[in-house]
Amino acid sequence: MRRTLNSILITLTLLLALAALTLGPSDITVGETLSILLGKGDSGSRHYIIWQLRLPRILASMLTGAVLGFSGAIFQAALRNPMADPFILGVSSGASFGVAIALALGLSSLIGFPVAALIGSVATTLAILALSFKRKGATTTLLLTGVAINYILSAAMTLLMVMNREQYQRILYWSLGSFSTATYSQVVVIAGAALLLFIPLSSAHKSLDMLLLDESTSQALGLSVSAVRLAVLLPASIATAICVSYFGVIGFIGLMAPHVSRLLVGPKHKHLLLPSALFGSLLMLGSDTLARILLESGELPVGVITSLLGVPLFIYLLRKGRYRYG
Amino acid sequence: MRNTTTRNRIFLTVMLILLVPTLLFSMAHVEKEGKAPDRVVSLSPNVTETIFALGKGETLIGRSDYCNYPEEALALPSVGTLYNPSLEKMLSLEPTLVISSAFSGDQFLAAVEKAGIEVLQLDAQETFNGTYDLIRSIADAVDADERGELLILSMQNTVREIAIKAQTGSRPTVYMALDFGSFDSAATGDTFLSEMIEMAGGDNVAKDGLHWTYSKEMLLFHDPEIILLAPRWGESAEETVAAFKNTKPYSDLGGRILTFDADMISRQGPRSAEALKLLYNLVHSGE
Repeated sequence: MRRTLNSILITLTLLLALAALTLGPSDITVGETLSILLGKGDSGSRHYIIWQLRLPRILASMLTGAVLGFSGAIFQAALRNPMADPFILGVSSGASFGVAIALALGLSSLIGFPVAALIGSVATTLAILALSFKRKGATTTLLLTGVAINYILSAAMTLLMVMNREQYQRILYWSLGSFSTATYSQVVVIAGAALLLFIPLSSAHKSLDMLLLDESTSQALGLSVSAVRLAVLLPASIATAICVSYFGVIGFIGLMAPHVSRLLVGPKHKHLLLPSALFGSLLMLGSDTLARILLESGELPVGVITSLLGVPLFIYLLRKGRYRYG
Repeated sequence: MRNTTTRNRIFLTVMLILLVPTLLFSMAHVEKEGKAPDRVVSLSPNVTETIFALGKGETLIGRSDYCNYPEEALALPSVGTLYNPSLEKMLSLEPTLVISSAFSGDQFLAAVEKAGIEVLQLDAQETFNGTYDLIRSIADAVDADERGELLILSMQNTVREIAIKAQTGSRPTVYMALDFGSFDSAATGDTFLSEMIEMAGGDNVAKDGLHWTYSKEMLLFHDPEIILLAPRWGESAEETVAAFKNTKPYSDLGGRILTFDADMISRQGPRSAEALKLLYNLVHSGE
């Protein structure tokens, strides 16, 4: 079942990627797409559209989906909470707030949204981790601190937007997420972050299983709980922060992908991590493709599609399957 | 050692001196070439209006969703709005120039430039002079400089005429609302609309307010003689006025309620002088 699932997911993703290369608002036929991909066909705007617009975008959405799905599983283990997603420790609110502050201070053209977002999300995550470090009942403290900080940053951001109404739409659309300006250099950076995340943490699957046990049991088993928690949360947060700073806040994938995987392969992290990443990748690619082909002109924010698409699927699977969390 | 340093310095100075005419020459040369772009995409409604007003509507091959004036603009394909544009759609139209008068989605224009398309991003000051500068820049980009100057002159005449008329005569109190209710949008003192009201001979009651929101208490206290409402999205003028009259506390206001075309008045473009004239007429309509 598990091997088959992973192969099915990989095949589906690749097929969708190929299909996505042929889809878009410009009039490029499938035949033309294939010849452009194979290096034939004239250069010009069509070549540019396939190679510089669609392909980096497809790669970016696949990689971001994988990072978010994988990180979602990590967060749910480290925080021992099935409602956790990669944004719960301030990555999304910090990023949006960073962008709002940069706009309000007029710095946005100087440093650019991605840098402002990255500073905001990393600073917020570190603050939350520091505020709840080494407390008794650490996961609860961590979660609640994260939730509280999310609220306050959200309020601060709304205040900034109310005082700068002209910028309101800009921040709103940025925060809803978009892959439309994805470049190959961004793809490379995210691929690097993904590898640095996946490789070490995949081999830590036993520790992740143990994190799900309550504090005393895991300590009795010799696990330095807070150290491990920190060691897995940091790379997941940073990789997520990089994705958010490039492409905005795209919700629900980080929450949903691990749960869907759990429904199909069970909760052991040895089997859970790869499908979480693959599901995330497939869902994100599908959502982004829909986001750019549904409207006659313009695009829909991809964060809207991930929820509209993901939620019914999720509820369907929840009702159908037997759920085991830990 | 000394000789080498001095020699180097002389060499460097000579090179720098020669650089200046080289730069000037190449700049002049570049400006002469590539003067009239054939295919323009406008991302802002006021840019679209200006291009048509300059008689260069045939250079436009794409617009944004909100570009709705003049009517010919609606026949053009849209690339989306300023905040969710489709880069692919825009590139498939094969433009040579993209003009925007506001900041778009952050990396969008950079991506357009990267694709080798010239981008003109205009940042107009919120004054009539800013509007004239905007028209001038667009006229230069589409090779309609003379027509642009004529347009600006005619606008300046209208503005001057209104300013003179407004100085003599009464100054009725005015409140202008683009939206009302719990989330209101009023022409507070920090907006260009407020300035236009004053120029048109009105006394804007909301001029001590900021950030497009005005206290309803203060509004009731002032009870302005003229209330200017913009029809809300999806509503007709009559519907908006009826809703206004039925919403507390606006229902307690005694002033004359008039509607106006928000697009025409808020867009900095060729219709701005006419908008000022319209505003003058609305403000003095009680006389």
